Amino acid sequence: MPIEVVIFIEHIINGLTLGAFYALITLGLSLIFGVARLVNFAHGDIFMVGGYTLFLLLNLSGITLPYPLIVVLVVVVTALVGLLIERVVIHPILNRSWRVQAVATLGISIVLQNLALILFTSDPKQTPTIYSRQIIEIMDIRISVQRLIILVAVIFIFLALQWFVKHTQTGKAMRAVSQNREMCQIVGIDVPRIAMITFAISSGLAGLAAALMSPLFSVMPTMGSLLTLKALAAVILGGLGQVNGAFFAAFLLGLVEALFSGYVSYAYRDVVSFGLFVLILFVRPQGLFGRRVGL
Amino acid sequence: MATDNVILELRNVDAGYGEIEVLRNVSLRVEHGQIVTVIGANGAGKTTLLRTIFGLVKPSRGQILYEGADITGLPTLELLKRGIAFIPGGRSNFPQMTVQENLEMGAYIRKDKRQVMKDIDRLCERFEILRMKRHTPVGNLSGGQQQMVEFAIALMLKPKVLLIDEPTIGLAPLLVDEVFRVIEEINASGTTIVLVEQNARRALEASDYGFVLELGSIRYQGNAEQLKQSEEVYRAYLGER
Repeated sequence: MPIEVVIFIEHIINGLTLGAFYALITLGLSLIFGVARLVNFAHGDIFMVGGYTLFLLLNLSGITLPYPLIVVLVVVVTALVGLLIERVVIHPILNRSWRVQAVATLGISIVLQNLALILFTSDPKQTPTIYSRQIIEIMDIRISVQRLIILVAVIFIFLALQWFVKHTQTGKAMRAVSQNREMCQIVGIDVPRIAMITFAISSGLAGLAAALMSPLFSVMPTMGSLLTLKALAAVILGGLGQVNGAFFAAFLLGLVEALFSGYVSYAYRDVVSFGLFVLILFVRPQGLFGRRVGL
Repeated sequence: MATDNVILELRNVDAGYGEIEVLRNVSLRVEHGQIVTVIGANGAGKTTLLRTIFGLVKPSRGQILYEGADITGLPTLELLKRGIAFIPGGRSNFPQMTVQENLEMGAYIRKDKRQVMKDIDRLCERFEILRMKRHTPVGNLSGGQQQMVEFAIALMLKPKVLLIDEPTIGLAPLLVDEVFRVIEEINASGTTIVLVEQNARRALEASDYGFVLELGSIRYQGNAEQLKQSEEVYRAYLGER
């Protein structure tokens, strides 16, 4: 194959991986927004907590845990952290104005980042796994196994989540809460309980993203801040409250970033993704998959 | 009214939202098995009355009794379990969920899930529209069809008392008759109904008893026939004779 084509395909695969990673973060943010009508500015920082959990589990003295078990443990830890945050901070402000909620979740974000700074310093931590250096080569195209794992895992998670909200009592209740909160009270759906479960699920998804993705980067206290904003951009692009729309918008964002940083400039990739965000909103204020509300 | 047959009673209830008091000293009794209508002008407090009975608005004074027990201040969930259900005015369903799923949500607090599925089958046999649109998102249905779904959601809990707020608002006259036919049918199967309705004349025709709410207080009450005959009620709420 000509080298140009190989490079192009590699960029596409990188874009899909990046998109899959954004999609995982975005799914959680979008779920919380749909169910609790709340933008969780600490969502990326829960991802960061997942990153450090991974770092600690990989560096346990004496024992080497198998990677799949580590992934599960990271998901469990972040889900529990999400649960704790929901109980302590989110629960009391569920019905307050968006200003109160924004300040509260930003507060969580600041606390988590500074805790990480105290505990782990600002030095980037490496979290390599056996898969991050393994490369497979198909027709000159080189892909790291870690990236393939991410792609497969995200597609699986997306399908599992679809099944969950369509076929389980709790999943249906989550949809019900996102569609008509007042009516939930009338049929006896416990809205705060559903919000709590949603928080745990979406934090667990952030943890999964950390366990799968940080082996390709490094772990730092501030690794989540920009990610929250990018996921928020994908949520808005997808059309607020449209979980599937947000999922595909995240892939779009990943592809655009990978192609731009591959062919033009790595340094300007964030400018491009946020520029694209502004541009799309200019043309379609309701987002790519959203419906116009009102007149 | 005979006391022993009273299923729901309000005693000197004041209620409102924060500083704004909507209901003032409301006392009323609803007998078992009746259809009772509350009529009144916009802003008289009709909806607040239903919401107070259903525990969504907490009374600041007075007592609410249901089946002889004091239920004042009990949470809505507890009232649902005891057999009180509420159909709010306006669109009160889950628009992007199918008819089937809406009915399942109506039975959310029930534990006997297998029986729930049987009850849904039965409701679908009873109401043709539910059967035809069973797997359609409710938001895609017409206003009248959505109203039927909302009745069915409330029926999933087999309530003893059903509170209904403005069920015919915005519906075509033909559908209004259909809605009242369903209300009478639900009543005939043993459910006591407290109805708030802007179409006062039509509502009184279907009712056993009526209350006229004016500025948050009960102004008149009586048998539906008596109310229809009363000159004052007629002029104020039923239009010229």
